Amino acid sequence: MIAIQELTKVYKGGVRALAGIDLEIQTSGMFGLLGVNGAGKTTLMRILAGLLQPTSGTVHVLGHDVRTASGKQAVKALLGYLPQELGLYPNLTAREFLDYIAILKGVAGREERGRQVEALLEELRIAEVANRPLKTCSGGMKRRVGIAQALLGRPQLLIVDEPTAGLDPEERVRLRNLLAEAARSCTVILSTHIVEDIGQSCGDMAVLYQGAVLFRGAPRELIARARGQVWTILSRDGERPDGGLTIISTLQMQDGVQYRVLGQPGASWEAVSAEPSLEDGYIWLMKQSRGE
Amino acid sequence: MPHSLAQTWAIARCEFRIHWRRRGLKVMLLAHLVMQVFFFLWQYFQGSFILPGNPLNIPAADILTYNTGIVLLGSWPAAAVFLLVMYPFVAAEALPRDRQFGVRELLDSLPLPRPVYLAGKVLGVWLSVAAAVLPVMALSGVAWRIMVGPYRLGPFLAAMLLGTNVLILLNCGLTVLAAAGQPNALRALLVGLACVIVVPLLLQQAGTSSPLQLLNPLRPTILYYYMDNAVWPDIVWLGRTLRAAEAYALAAAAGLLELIVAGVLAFGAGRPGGER
Repeated sequence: MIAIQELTKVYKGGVRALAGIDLEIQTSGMFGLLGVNGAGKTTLMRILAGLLQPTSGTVHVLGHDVRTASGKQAVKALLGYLPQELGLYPNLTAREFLDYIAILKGVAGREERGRQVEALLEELRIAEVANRPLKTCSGGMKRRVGIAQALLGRPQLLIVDEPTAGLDPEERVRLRNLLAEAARSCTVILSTHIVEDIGQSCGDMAVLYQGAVLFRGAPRELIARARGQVWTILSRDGERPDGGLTIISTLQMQDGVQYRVLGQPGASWEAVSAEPSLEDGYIWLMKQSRGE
Repeated sequence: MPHSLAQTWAIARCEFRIHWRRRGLKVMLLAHLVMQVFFFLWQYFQGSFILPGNPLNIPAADILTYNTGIVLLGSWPAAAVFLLVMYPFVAAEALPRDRQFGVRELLDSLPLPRPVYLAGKVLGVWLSVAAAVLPVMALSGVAWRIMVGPYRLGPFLAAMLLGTNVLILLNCGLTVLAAAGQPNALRALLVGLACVIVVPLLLQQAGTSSPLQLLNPLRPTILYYYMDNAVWPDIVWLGRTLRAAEAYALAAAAGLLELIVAGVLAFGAGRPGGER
């Protein structure tokens, strides 16, 4: 289990990235961490990975206190980590890079290392470019190499920070499936600002906003919060709905413009109640938190 | 193999690959080769070679000694200049490059103790530079043998195997560690510049026979040790003039001390995740 209590992180210069977070994450399945850019997700991920020292509060990851040097080392030995800004050595090949990381992770024995590397190359469909320098690989391919390195050594905890950023839809789906597969044998913490990624793969989630936890629960609970607040409005003259409504989508139709809105439309609008999505729930939550 | 040794060796191998797949080291190797040829021709046109008919009238018993002096004077300074000044610039970016490539955060997330990381980098740079310098030196030795005839192999091999490796470890190792906290390759180059040019210039103010020359990153006592005919002003320490071998040993020890200090500073400069 991951237990976080009163966790605060203040950077030099006074920027408060985390403001007293309390969170418990069970060690099974996939946990989603959602929030806008700058919400504190990456800071939290880096503290969990033992890369940042918290300013105050306690963090226990799989029974280890990550504030101590020995705790950090112990967590790192159990960890697979994909940073938001993934860097690779451009002159190494994918195979060489994975072999290198496998040794550093302590995967013992050349045979076992080779087995794991080859299996991941196959699984992530990078085998055909495994002997090409990484500088010649596409962004999606590099991302897959990043995932592969995180999965090396069969980690007990997998932390992936914005793994689908910059990927095309097909790549995103493939990556989500892969993470879901990994979550069968370890805890996966997925940090993202893409709501769909959470909705499609996580059974448990939290929403961070300005360094605090705004929501903690299952995605369906967040969806439920927006129930009765989502409407579709067909505007025949194209007039935009107003009165405190948030327009979620706009669709040009033959007989006018169809708006999907969040809030309570006035009686003058021809509004039809719609089933909310996770994105609606998230936007509703953010609206409420801003007092709109 | 214990885990930390396996990690050190893996980092060294990775560093070796990266160095040899980039341009810097190959350019240095080529430039070193050109320099060796230049020194060779320079000696030739100076009339230092024993020409047919022995116009210099060198006694037969001294020819071996004479040739050895010529060979060392012709090959060692060129190698030393590269080891002392040029290669350290290539080496300096070893650690900042990881940050520049964005690999650093990933490495910090691994169960990799920082001393192991630093040791692996220094070892990798050492192997890379040695692999560039030693073949050129070997080639030079063969060329000199063909051109001047027999010479004593012992002193040449001592310079080639011991002298070069000592200088690689001390100077390339020093710039690797000294540049550890720098955010990019350019800043690392500036640190390298400070190590191999600015510090020697400052030490020059203390006088050539000052014991402070033992700390000089241009390692004058080691450089001159392998040149039979060259003279380095005697270093006076504790009221006594040091013998050449003593000055060599003390300079090497001082260099190791510099390396250790730079290592300690590098350890402190590398707090994980770029949290500086």
